[in-house]
Amino acid sequence: MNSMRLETFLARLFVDSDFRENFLRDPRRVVEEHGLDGAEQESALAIDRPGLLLTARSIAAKRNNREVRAGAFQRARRMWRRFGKF
Amino acid sequence: MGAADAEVAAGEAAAVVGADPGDRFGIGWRDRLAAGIFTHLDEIDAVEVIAENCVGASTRQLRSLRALGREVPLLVHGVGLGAASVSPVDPGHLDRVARVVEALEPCAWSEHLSFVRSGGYEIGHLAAPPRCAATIEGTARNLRKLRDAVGVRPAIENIATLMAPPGSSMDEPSWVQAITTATASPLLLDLHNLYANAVNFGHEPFAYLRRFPLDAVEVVHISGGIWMECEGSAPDQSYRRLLDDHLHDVPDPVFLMLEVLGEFCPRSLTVILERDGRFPSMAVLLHQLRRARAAMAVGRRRRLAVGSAHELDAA
Repeated sequence: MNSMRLETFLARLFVDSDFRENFLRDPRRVVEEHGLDGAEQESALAIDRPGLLLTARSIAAKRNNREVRAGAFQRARRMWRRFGKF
Repeated sequence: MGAADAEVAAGEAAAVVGADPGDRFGIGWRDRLAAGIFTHLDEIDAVEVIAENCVGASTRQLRSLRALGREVPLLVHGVGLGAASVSPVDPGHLDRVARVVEALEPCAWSEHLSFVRSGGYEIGHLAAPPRCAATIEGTARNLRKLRDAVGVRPAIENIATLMAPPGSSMDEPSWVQAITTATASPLLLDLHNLYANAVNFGHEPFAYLRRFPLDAVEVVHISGGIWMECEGSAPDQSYRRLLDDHLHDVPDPVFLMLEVLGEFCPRSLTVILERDGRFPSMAVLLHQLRRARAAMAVGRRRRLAVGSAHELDAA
């Protein structure tokens, strides 16, 4: 088993929603296409699906929060540049 | 007076008896808590600073934190190195963290047993890697790099996971034990992470706690979380998992676990309360710190009472 391949597969499952949906719809096809070997495929096919869905939801919420904060920061900077010198 | 208040009052009254004077109780530095922390340094024994929050900080900001470090011991906590992985840590990120440690001169530093990126995919979150021999070796390699860059090994922290990591050949306590043994790293035991993993995956939390290498624990995190639900494949099926979100108060079982640590951990401990948002008043946070002190004092007294028996057990 190659843990790096499996780590990459997991990382993609967590952050790539299309990849995750394809996997949940047709897991065998996706694990084969990702190039996982026999043992890796077996462990990926036995994945804890509720846990995967909750993990993906939690990660998406955190990423979204960070983007909202970053967006607010950039808006504040633009406002400051435009009006801050008054 | 509520039961928790009575417990705190009793703990404080008895704290002088049996308490380990080396145990410290502190809080995670967040900008929103800055004023409260400075105002209540008489009740805060240590402050933990997130390394990544200091990357790019101005000289003035770093000087302020270093000044705080002259008042109270500082700890630096990394959240983005992803050391528990077969992939090598990002040398640029490690260099930036090393510079923060050098600038702040903390008494200790730590990182998580997690991976955060792989194959070009940046997770932006702490993820549990497969618990197997390959990740133990990968983690040991990465921890050597961390030690070489910073000059001191980090304490390594157990993480919470909502998903049983696939490709695992061992359970979490055995995996953590194997890494602390292989690397001689101290353990930062996050009690809410441990509690969440126990209840999410069907373990009795206190038995689960006793399976971790408690003799390696030097730092402890306490925090709170919330239950999440998701629908299963059958219409009437749903799943609940406890999420460690640092947005809620520390639950009672975590304080009971602190008593166990007080009893079974041989080293003096630094306990850090983590809160990342939905900030309550400082009084509420200080109350949780007092409860932590009281719980630890209970455990330390138990240790004094039966300490020789534990030492005989260990021998």
